[in-house]
Amino acid sequence: MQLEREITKEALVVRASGELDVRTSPEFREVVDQWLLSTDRRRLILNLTKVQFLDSTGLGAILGRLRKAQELGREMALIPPSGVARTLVDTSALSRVMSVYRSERLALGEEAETSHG
Amino acid sequence: MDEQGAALTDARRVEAAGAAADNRMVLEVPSLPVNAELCRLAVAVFAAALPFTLPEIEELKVAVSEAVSNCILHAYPQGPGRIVVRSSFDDGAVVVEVQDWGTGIADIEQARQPSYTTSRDPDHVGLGFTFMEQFTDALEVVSSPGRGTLVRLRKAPHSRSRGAGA
Repeated sequence: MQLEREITKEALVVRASGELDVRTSPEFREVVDQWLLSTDRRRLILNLTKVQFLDSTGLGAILGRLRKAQELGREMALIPPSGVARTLVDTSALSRVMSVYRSERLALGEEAETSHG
Repeated sequence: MDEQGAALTDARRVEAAGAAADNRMVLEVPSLPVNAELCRLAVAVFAAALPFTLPEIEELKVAVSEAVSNCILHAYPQGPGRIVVRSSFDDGAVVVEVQDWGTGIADIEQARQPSYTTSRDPDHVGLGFTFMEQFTDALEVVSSPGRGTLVRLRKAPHSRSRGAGA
């Protein structure tokens, strides 16, 4: 799994790629939490478009980041992976507890709308 | 690929499936996090002898990953123990058994409920058995506290579109 971040005016954008499972979840958790703590942006946008494998352990790590973001008074948005991994996100009803967007652009667009409107 | 080429590839796949019918694979690994990927990939390659679609192979990988992750996360709290993954074919389906000799499950019905988890880690969502059921045609769980757990799953190609299984 690889992680990269970009800090926009209002959001911490985290892009993950590769496999999110029992091996990679601890690192995912540690790195994203560290990035969350090191910035004061009010939104965390988690882009999983390039995640090729996801299972329930990975879903738990995603849900855990929502909890962490909320603890810090932040909002979290998710761009889910495609294929079977998307089915997992749908089954877990993650979309009921966090905003889900089709693309990073849409997630950031929402940010612009909110900040100007 | 043209139609003739596709038909030929299908024919080869069916031939390969016939030849593979007697194939078997036994994998023994310690319950280390790195082995979830190893097990699901090995089973995916083994199962690919049957005419599974790519999404079906991905579903099988998730199911195997859940079973092996359960062994890694829950079976051996004292330190790494044995996980054995056996794969075979039966009547056009792949059958995968994932076994450990660890903690065991006291109440299997309860463990299979969505969102049930024994873990105190807040990051555990308790959907492992839900995904194993969702992505396979049949799932059996045999377990005994203190003696271990055996998960047996079965998946056939195109089972949903044919209306078989589940």
